[in-house]
Parts: sequence; C-alpha cells; structure tokens
Amino acid sequence: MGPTMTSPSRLGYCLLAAAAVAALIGAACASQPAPNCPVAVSNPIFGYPNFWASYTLQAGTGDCASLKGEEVGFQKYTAPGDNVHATLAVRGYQLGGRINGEFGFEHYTPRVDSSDPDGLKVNSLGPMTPFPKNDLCTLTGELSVAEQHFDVANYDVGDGGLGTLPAETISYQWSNVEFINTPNIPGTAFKASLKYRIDSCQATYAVEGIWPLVRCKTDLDCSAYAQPDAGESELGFPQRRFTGSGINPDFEVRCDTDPTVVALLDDWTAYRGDFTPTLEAYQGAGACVLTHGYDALKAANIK
Amino acid sequence: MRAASSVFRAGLIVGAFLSSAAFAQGSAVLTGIVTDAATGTPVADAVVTVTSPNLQGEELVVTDSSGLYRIPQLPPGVYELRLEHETYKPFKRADITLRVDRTIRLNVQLQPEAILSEEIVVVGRSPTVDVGSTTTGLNVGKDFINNIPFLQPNASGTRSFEGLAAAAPQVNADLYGFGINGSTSPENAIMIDGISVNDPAFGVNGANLPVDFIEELNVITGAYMPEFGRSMGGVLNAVTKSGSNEFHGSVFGNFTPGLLSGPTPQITRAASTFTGETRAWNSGDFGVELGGPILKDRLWFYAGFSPSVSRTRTRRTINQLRFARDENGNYLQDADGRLTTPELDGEGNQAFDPVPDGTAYRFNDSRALNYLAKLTLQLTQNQNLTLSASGSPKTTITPAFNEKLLAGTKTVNDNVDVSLKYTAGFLDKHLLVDATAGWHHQLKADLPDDGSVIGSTSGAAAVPNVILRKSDPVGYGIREVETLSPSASGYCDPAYPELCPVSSASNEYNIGGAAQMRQATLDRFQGKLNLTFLLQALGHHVFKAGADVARTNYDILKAYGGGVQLRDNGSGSAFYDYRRYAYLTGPDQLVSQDPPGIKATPSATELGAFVQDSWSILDVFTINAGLRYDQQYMYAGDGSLGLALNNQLSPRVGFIYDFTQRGQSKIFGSYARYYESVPLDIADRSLTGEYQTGYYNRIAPQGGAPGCNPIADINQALHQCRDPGNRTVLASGADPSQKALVSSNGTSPIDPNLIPQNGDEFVGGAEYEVIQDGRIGLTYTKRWMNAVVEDMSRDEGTTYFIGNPGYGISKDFPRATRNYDAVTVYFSKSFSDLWQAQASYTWSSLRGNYSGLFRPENGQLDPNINADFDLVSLLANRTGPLPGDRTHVIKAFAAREFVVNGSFSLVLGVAYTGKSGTPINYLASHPIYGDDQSFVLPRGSGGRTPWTHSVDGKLSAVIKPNSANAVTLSVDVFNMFNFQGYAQVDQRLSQEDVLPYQGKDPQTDACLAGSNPTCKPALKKYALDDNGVPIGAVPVTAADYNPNYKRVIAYQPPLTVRFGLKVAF
Repeated sequence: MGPTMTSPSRLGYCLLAAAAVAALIGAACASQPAPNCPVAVSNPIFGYPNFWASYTLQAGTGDCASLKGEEVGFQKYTAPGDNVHATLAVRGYQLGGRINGEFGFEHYTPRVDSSDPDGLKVNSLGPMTPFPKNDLCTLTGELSVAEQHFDVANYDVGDGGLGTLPAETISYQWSNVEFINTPNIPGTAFKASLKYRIDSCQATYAVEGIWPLVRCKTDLDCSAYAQPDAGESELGFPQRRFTGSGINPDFEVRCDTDPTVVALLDDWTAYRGDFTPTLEAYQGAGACVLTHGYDALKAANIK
Repeated sequence: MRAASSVFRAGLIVGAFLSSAAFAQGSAVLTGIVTDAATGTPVADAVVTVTSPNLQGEELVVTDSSGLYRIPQLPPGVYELRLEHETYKPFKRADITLRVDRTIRLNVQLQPEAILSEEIVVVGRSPTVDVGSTTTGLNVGKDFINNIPFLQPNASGTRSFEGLAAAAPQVNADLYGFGINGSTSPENAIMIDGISVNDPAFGVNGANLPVDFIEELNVITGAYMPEFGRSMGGVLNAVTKSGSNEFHGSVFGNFTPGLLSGPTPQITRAASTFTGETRAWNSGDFGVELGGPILKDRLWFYAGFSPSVSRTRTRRTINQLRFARDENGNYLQDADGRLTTPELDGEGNQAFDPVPDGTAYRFNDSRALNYLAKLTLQLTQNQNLTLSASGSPKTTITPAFNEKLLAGTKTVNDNVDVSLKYTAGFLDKHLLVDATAGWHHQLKADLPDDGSVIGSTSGAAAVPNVILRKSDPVGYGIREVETLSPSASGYCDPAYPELCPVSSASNEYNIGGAAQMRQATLDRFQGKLNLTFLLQALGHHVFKAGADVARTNYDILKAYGGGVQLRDNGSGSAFYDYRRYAYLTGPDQLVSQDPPGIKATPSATELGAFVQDSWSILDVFTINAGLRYDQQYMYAGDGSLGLALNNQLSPRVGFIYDFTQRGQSKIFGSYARYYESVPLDIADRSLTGEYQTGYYNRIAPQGGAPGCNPIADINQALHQCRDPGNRTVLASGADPSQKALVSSNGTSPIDPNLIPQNGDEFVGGAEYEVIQDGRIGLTYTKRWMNAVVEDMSRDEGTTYFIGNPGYGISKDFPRATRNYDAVTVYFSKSFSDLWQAQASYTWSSLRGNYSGLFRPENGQLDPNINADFDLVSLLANRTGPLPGDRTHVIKAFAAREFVVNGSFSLVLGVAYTGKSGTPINYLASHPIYGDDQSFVLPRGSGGRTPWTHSVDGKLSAVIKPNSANAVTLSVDVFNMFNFQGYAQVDQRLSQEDVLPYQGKDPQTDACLAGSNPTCKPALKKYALDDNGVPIGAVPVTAADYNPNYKRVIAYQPPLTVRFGLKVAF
C-alpha cells in the first residue's frame, strides 16, 4: 500500500475511537508532536561538511566585497528537557579556516588572535527559537559579533625562506538568520544578512545556503538520489553516486561553477582531503546550490 | 481395546491427573447440526450435553429450530457428547478432542425411536478439522509435551512454554525466540491466560513459565481474526492448569548431566590468540504442583513451584601464532620489524601453539524460580472468575576472563504476571461475555557481577570499559594486557605483538570496568472485554465484538562504567569517547550526564476494538469477516506526546468450505492486514532522546598534556584521558565545535504523515481427515510489508528522524521490503489408538532488505530504530535473502505407546528436524557504526550454510499401580547421533571499513559467482587518519581480510541426555 492510506481521513477514524474511550486516551486524535528546531550540522568523521552559503553583495567595495560564497557552520544547543532555551552558534570559514590554518594560499599557517588565544570569539552566539513558528526557526535576540585580530605571522615558503602574513582584523556580524523547518526540510536551508569586515573594508551581503556543501561538475553530482547507472562520478568519493549527495531530496538544485566559487573551493578542498580521494578530480568543481533560490523554496513549502 | 486404551492414556499422560477441570472457561467450541436420520430435517430442542475430565460438571445446550447446537467457552480436553430427544434414540460419542481457540463440528443424525431403545454409541470417526476458522498453526497439549522429545531447557534451565512454538510449521527459532511466517520473534503476541506477556520495551517474550504448569499452548501462525491484534508475526496463547474437585498433584525433577553430552568439534578461529568453547555442564529443574477444591463445586486452587538451574563451562586457551624464522632462528621481518611470513598448517591456515599454562575455565550460572498460583471461582452456573499469578525471578552470571577486565556480567530478568478473568454465558449461551484484566511486570538489569550498580563509587561500575581494536600496523600483544604463567616465558615475545595479538582485524578485546549498564522496570496494565452473540439470519452467525486497552510504562536508568566507554582509533594514536552520555551547551562545552547516568520514564497507551462475524451458510460454507481498529500513543520521558500511531484499520476476511459437510474437511482462504504494536524502546531512545558526545584523546603526551593510556593504567581513563590538552581537533574551520563530536543529539523528529507499521497476508489451503484423528493439509502463505517505521539519518548519524523508508519525508530512502512465500504440507494425528504424529515439510522464501524488529546480522534489538536504514552510506547491497530465509524445513514428531500390562507401559517418542541453511553475507566495518554493519557485497551472495539435522528420542516408563497414582521415568536424548552441522559461520569479511562494492570488476564478480571464501575481491576501504577520519579510499590488502571468514563459529547443540522423574498423585 502506498502512503496515501493514512492521511486524509485520519481525524474521522480517530474521533470514532475517541468517542468510545475518550477517558482512557488523553491524546486521542493527536498528530505527531512538533519537532524542535534542528539545524543541520557537519559530520567531521564521515563525509558531510557544513552548509554551502552563497553570498550576494548588497553594499561595499574592496577585498571584503569579493566573497561569492563559503562554508558556514551552525550548531544549536539545548539542554535535555529544556523546551524554552536554545542557543545558535554560527562560524564562517574565513575566520575558522584561518584559525586552523586551512587556507592553501596561507601555507597552512594557523592564525592567532593573541587577545583571544582559545578562539572563543570565532563563533557568533545568540538565542533562537527552540520550536519552529510558522515553519520557520529564527533568532530571538542578537548574535554576538565574531571577530579576530590576527597578529603578523611567518610562514615557510617552501625553499627554506619565510613569507609574512600581515596583521589583519576580520569580523562577521550576522542578523536575520532564518531556517525553514518543515518535516521534509528539517533545518537544511537558511538565509541571513551579514556585515563582513576586513580591517576598514566593510561589505553587506545577503546570504543563503543549503546543507551540505557538495562539490560538483554537473547537475547530476548534486542529485539527492543514487545514480548507480551513471557510472562512478569523476569527483571520486565513490559512495556518492550510490547513495545520493545527501542534499534534501525536495530541493531543486544545480551546480554553480562560477570561477570565483571554484577557486575558493579548490583551496577548501586542498585542506579537506577527507572528501577527495583524488584532489585533481576536484580541480575546477563548483558547489551545489538551489536552482531558484531560498525565497522560492520558502514560498513553495510554507503557506 | 478402545476403552482400555483411553483409560490407560489417562494414566500415561501424567499431567492429566492433576490438571483436569477448568470450568466453562476455555476458548474451544463444539458445534454441529442435529438432523433426523430418516428425513434429513433438522431436529430442534434436542438436549446436547458434553462432559470431560477437564470440565467441572457438564455443559448443556438445546438445539435451535435449524437443529444447530454450539457449546462455546470449553477448556481444551477430551470430551464426550450426549444427545437426547423424546422422539429419538439417545446418542453418545466419546473421544472428541477440543483444543484452545478451535472450533470442531460434529453433525449428528438421530434415529427415530423405534423397536430398539438402547443408546446409540458411536465409536467411529470423530472429526478434528477446525471448521470455524482459517487460522494456521498448531495446538500443543500435554500429549505432545509428555511424549515427544522436543523441548529443551532454555538458558535458565527452564523448559518454558514458548519453546513449544517451534513444533509448528513455518516457525523458525531466531536469536530472541521464534519467528513466525518470515517475521522476527518480537513481532509475536504472547499471552498467558489471556494477558499479554510481551516485554513492553522490546517486544520479546517477557515471561518464563515451565510447561509443567500449562494445559495447552495454541501456536497461531497466520490467518487469524480481528480478535487477535498487536501482532505482525503470530500469536502464542498459553492456558495454564486449574484445580478441580479432587486433590491432585505431582512432584517432578529433571536433570541434564553435562558429562553425557556429545563431543563438539573445536572451533578454531584461524590465526587467533584465543581458542575455546562453552559447553553445557549441567542443568536441571525440580518442581511440585498441587490442585484441588477449597470449597467443593465453588472454589478451586492450583499452585506450582519449580526452581531451575543451568551451568555452562567456558574454556579459554591462549595460543602463540607461528611465523617463519631464518636459519639462525630469527623471525623473518620487514624493515619496520614486523613479522612477514606466517607458517601454515596442512590446511593452509596459520599454525599456532598453545601457551603453557594458558588454559583457564569459567562457569556461567543461570537460575530461575518459577511459580504459578491460580484460584477459580464459580459464581453461578454460567459465570466464572479466575485469578492467576505467575512469575519467575531469573539471574545469569557470566564471569570475565580478561585479566584487566574488572568484572563479568550479571543479568537479571524477573517477571510477574497477574490475570483476572470473568467468563459468563447469558440467553441460553447465545450471549457470551469474556472480560480480562491483567498486569505484566518485569524487572531487568544488566550489571557487572562484582556487586556494583549504577551509581557505585567503587567496583566495575565506577571504571570505564575500554575496547581495544588496533590492528594497524599490528594489534596489541597479550603481554600488554595479561600476565602469563612463568612457564610461558618463551612465548608471546612482547617485541612481536603479532605472535599473540589480542586485537586484530577480526577480534576486539575489552579491559577496565563495566560497559553499558541498565536497570529497568517495565509494566503493562491491560483490560479486555469481548462479547459473543449467536444469531440466525440466512444461516448461523457468531458475532463478536470487543475492545481492549493497555498502558505500558518503562522506567530505565542507563550508564557506562565510569561514565564513558573508550575505544582506540585502530592505529593506536588515540582513545576516543566511543559511548558517553553528554551534550553541548555551547561550542566545545560538553556537559556529562553520566554519572549519574540517564533516566527515562516513557510510556504508551494502546487502544483496540474489533467486530467480526463468522457466518455459516448451510453448514458447508463459512465466511469470516471482521475489522479491527488500533491506535497507539507513545509518550516521552517528560510525559509529552512523542509518537502518534493513529487509524490502524485491519480488515480480515476468510472463507471455509467443508466439502464433506461432516466437519472432516476444509478448503479455506484468508486475507488479513496486521499492524505492529511498537515497543517502548523507541520512546526511550528516540522520543525522549539520547545525547552522546565525546572527544578524541591523544595517547602520547604532548605540550604539557599527560596523554591518555588506559592500557598502562585503567585509572587514566578517568583522569589523564579527561585532560583537555589531549583532545585533538576533528573538525573543519567552519565547525562551531572543533573538538567535541556529537554522535547523538536528542529527540528525533517524526514524519507528520507517518504510516503505522503494517503488512498484509494471504493464506489459502485445504485440509482433510484421512484417518481417525489424523488429517493431512496443504497451505500457501504470502506475506509482505506495506510500511515500516524506522529511524533514518541524512547526515551520517548526527541527527535522526523517524519515518517510513521510501515514503513521505524519507522518500529518497529505499522502501523497506520483506516478502515471504511458503508452502507447507503436513500430517497431524492427535494421540489415539496408542500413537500420535505430527509431520510437516515447508518450502519458503524470504526476501527483502528488512528483517524485522531486530537485526539478525549483529543481534541489535531496537524495535523500529534498528540500524537497517540509519545511514545513507549503509544502504548499499541490502536487498536479498534475509537471515531468516530457510528454503526447506522438515519437522516430524511421533510417539507410540506399548502396553506391557495393566499397570505398566512404555512410550517411545521420536523427533526429527531438518533445515536447509541460511544465507551468508559479506560484512565489514563502517567508520561510524562499527563492525559488521556494512554489506560489502549484495546480501546473501556468500552462499548458504549447509543443512542441519537433529534426531531426538524419548523413552518413558509409566507405572500406574492404581487409577489415581502414577510414576513416570523418562530419558530424553537430544541430537542422538550427535550431528555437528554448522549453526553459524563467520560473516565478517573484514574488520576494516570496506566500502560497499557496487561497480563492475571481473575479479570481484568472479568471487561473487564462486562464493569462494578464499577469493579476495578487489575492494576498497576507507583510509583513516590518526583521528579515524576517512581521508580517501585505498585498495583492501590481503591482511585486511578476516582469515576466519566463512568458517564455522558455532555448531549445533551436541547430544544431550535428560533424565526425568515424575510422581503424580
């Protein structure tokens, strides 16, 4: 039997039964409980990075205004049994990647803010709704500003000589973070506003993203469904063709091969070797994005 | 001859002496049409009387205008029927056998009163075909229990009732009980005296009750009516004994000496440091039972008490593996000092030698204290009340071998079952009322055997358990974890751990304290009301309606020894928090919940109602039709609704055609839908939510941090290993938490359009009585799943959701399938004319990707949240013959009585069971889920295990000096030829994280086609970095394959001999 057998007349049967034993069944005719606000997260042990976020410049010029996208990570924290409080953490790769020395062009040199050696201010933290409202999970207050002042650092240029990375201050100020949260889209798509600064350069972006970051050369690489007959993807990681990309099957997605995106991801991939049996295969690959964007997805899924 | 035999039979079947007499309290039905032999017209107002040793007094009804009589609510037993009418000769027929839940038709033709006025006594055929229902299965009564060598003691030494289920066709033993018609054992509904005794959390049988206390077990395997709900497998319906107007009782004892057990071939795991086996040492039980009147004709009692014990002995021998040496006696080794050349024995396996004084033994002990007490009260002629209470406290102790393991395990599983049943007949038995209230209670605990419990500040409960699994580049050597005898000084050189490795590609080794500990109480409060109404409208109708309600509560406390279980990362550079109840309050801010551990109190409410009609037209055609409605609500630990399973509508229809029109045949067909009753485990683990979070801790000291080496000192697991300086960065730059890894994060969201788990069944067949009391039959059964409830994850286990694989929010997952087809031919003859027999052959096929409520591949019992569909990376290669697929099964049982003289006879019983083998898989580890979770090649492609056979025999000597007393001496010999077929083979191709193979490769395809265990297909595995993070795929090397793959790891139980003595009075 197909999935149609439950849905429409559920209430009818239920009322019948409830009339018979209303006293015994407190919750007669109840539907499934509302889910809390899940936020998709990475799985560093196996296969899934964080969100791929696409950036659209709203205002600003200069270095800080050149971002086309990056990996953005979220985590949501609630204590067991606490149905009132939830905290959201956001972390952008421009800061987090520098802390870990993950940028190839910086020669894997971890950067340090001497006033914040533990990197506590790399994350933005703020309160969010524990349960969805109108199928959306949103902030209920401000997110803290993520900011690091990196000291000057030397790096090995490869032939015994040293290069120098200049001091710089980078900050993220996130606002209007919003996740779609319906049963078929459990916190796997978001949008937000971002003020991004490098030293005195300031830019404003409209940001939207889907989980997880999937690199692609063709739209087929983005498919949520297994494509066992399509042959092994030239992107290596042989599982994907047999299991699907991990992207929500309700998303209409395409492969974004914008050269700026590709260049940024090639650096990202160079460090994230865990997803790349053959690094060369990934050279020139882009990232999967929503074909029609977040607002269209929201309009189609939320009344 | 006939009279003599039936009298003697009563003596032979010792149980019959004392049990007798339940009143009109049963579920058997005797029905038929009384006609005029001369004219064929119905005879109205004939007085029908039945009597039986199992029936207090007699039951009496009058035929209606169509000549029909129907006597319901009869206890199982052997009956005599009398018919009286003023214008006809009296009629009498004896030896009518009635069984639980069965309807027997006996049509009678009365001779008009004429010249002869003596009673007509019919000694001929008395029908045994159940013409009232389409139900398939088997009634197992005392004849079978006493005469057939069938039931062996379970792990606690008790011969418990549920074991009888395996006698029925289409029933196969599985890890937790008996799977029926392709389902798994937790899907069955199991009842004692009308109340459900299923474990409320896991669905398995939750009661231990010796067969000595039961009157009969009805094993219903399929095609059952809406009155039976909450089962997707079969129904086991046990009826206990009752007291009667005479005092009867017995004293009995059974003993199975291990000394008389047959030899078992040694199980050698190739290239293994440890070899050994577990053998039955002895087991036995002792019991007393007594039944009788408290107030004659009004109030009766029955009481029984039977403790049982079972002891097994486990041997462990330490071996040293042989490696080749050069001419100077030095081991051949590579540049890294690793030994390169195993020395092979004649069979091509690596040779090994036992280490001097390296053999040790441990006894494993189980005990159970079984009891049953029952009161029966006759309120009025037509109303009865029965109160019964049974139970069994059980404990099993399994000591540890490993030197650095602080304790073994102690398992407690106590049950108490109380049932209050009211039965009444009104309107000349045209309206029947059955009302039952019951309580099932269990107390369960998994604890260390050193006496410490969850919360103890000393003992094994206070120390973490550590799993060693390193195999890269070499496993841990035994001298790192155990002290060998001084006489073993030349063995297991610590410089070469590969000589005596305790961890390897196929073996893990545990040290430290307790792994997971659990303490739980479980309760089910239940009530049931059934009304039966007989009416006449275009034939005869038996109309039934009923409602039932159950409330289940689960109170569970879980913890790990010392609050964490550690596991090495495979390469010996880190120990990580493999299991740790903890959650995050912010980035890398871990809050541990253990100690004290996590407590949850989930619950569920179940409601069911049904209507059904059995419409008999012209006494040759019966149509059964009915509808059942169920709903189930599960509540999370905080009392909030966790899962709603609404609108479970189960239509069931069937027909029975009796072409002999005399109750001696039937052709039948049935369609039914069955819904699952979801056990509470899901409400604990997924709806209440388990948080698991942990760190990777470097072994080597670094930068002022002390390192984490629990092998050197287990206390490091609690102290040094917790030092923040040891924690390694796992994440990428964009992860808010860089070191803490969340592996389970609270409650799981649920598909709002969740379909409750259900499946359909079609059964068709025919049955014909070929000899007196003997019938042959043929059935075809088809079952399939419509929807399965499981948990799934799209992010490799970080977050889960609950849905129906293939539907709704889980539409990108494959549909859960389980298709069962079976054809059975059988012959069944109940005990009469000094013999009985039961034989069946079943051909069946079980295909799909879903076994049921547990995973036979690794024993995981988490109903509806098993790992089958959990991870996208685990889904490959899952469809094929399921573990329960046995193509051919033959079951044959027979007994013959030899009368030596009036007070002495011998009974010989034999049993044969033959089964074809089960599918073999290619399993490997998964980076997150661990061993045996990944199907490297398609399910079942490793071929099948061979057939197994067992021939059992039983000889009983019955001395019966008078009609009230009997002494029975018996000897059972199980597996009398000591056949040693493969019970299990090793299906672990590798302990490495081998990727599922789905491509095309000639070598691998050849391996597949050949099912050759020595064939090494061209597979790839995940390459892991020091933190266990996959960094790519690399070819599997020869060393990664488990050398033991496809070798036998368990043989069928050897020959055992059991002696029994029973004195009945």
